[in-house]
Amino acid sequence: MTRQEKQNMKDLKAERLQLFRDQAAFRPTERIPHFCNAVTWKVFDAGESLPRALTDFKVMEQVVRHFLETYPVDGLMDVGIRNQFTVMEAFGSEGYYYYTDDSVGIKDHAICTVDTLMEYLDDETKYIWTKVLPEKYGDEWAQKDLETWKKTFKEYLKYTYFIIHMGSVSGKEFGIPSLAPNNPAKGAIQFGIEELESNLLGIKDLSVSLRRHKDLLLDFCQKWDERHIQPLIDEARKGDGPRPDKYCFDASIILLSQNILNPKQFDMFLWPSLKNLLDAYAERGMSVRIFAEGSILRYADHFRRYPTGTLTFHIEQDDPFEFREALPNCAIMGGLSTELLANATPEECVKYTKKLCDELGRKGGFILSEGKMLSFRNDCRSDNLKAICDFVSGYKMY
Amino acid sequence: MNKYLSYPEGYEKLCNDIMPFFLRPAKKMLMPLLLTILKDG
Repeated sequence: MTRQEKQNMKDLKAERLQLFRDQAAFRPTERIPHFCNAVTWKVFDAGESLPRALTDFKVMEQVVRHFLETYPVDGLMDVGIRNQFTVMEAFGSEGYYYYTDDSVGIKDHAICTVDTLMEYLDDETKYIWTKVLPEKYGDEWAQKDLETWKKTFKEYLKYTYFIIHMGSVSGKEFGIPSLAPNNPAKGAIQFGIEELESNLLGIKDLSVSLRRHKDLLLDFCQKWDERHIQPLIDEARKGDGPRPDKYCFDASIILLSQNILNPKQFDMFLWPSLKNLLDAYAERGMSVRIFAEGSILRYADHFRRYPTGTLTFHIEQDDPFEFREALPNCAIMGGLSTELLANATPEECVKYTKKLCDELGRKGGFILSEGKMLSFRNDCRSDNLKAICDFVSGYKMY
Repeated sequence: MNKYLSYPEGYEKLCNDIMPFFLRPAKKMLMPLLLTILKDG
């Protein structure tokens, strides 16, 4: 790249950061920014095969480049770094993630039972090393020799380098800003109840245990949040505060458990820590993106207390217009469903995108995005996404 | 008997055996993500 091209991308990135920050803060902008939630779909759109893209970083890089060259988006949720198959293949054992020609999947699993939760909490690394990994890999675990471990570590370093490299490619060559500070190396913001659902017990065992072992789960969640969430609260209170020059948001949180908790359980297991964290962000004027998988609207009353500019909800199944009515103080990220993207015509897609921009974004508070991750071949038609991107990148709000 | 199976001795020995010398100070940052990949992947 020439010096001028590098400067142009730097300026474009800064412009995009400002657009995201302004819309999150309900400040009107000249155009509505689009943070695209395209994940594995990018591979199909580039005409590549999943097996090739998932096992060859050069191929995945070309997939991401193809996407960014074709679709003028302002942000991209995944720059090809989500799946770590090369590390697992070097390790030489079957894992939970798998891929076919058409999809990436994950086998149902849980790493704890109710009886072992406190043991896990006592020393997470020890539990993983002495219980989880031996059970997962069975007889193969004890047979892993130094050569296999070195090969695995080498692939892991390549993967780590790929993460850094793709951040640089998307940022410096395409002007794409980073979503938020939390990243794969530092870890996501994960509440205890979320960890129980996603990794430790799974949906089924958690649902049963919420009734049978309420006190134990509460104890676990409180201790987990003390260890993992309290430091984030302290950092929010004492740290640098908002970083609008570097990130679209100051934090990104994923919530899933609200879909299985009843209101009493939500207030018991999630809300106290979530409230404390959001309060800390609000005190410092920080901007938070919450990806609310499924639906969050039945808990709308909890979030009305926050000043505009604090919360942006990336909604999945909630209707954006209903959401605006229920939570006028919270910005919305979303609006594009796979039903629209896969089944409508380009003209219908543009018409609906215009409606979203006009009704939700004219006074600020709206960032265009896809609710679900675009994962499968038929989640989206290329011509629909292109039409939307071309429209929204040029549609002047004033 | 695999010398890496025990914790913390076996785990620490493995970290030192697989990491180049210049990366060992970064062990606390590098190993958690590798463990996560092996655990969840």
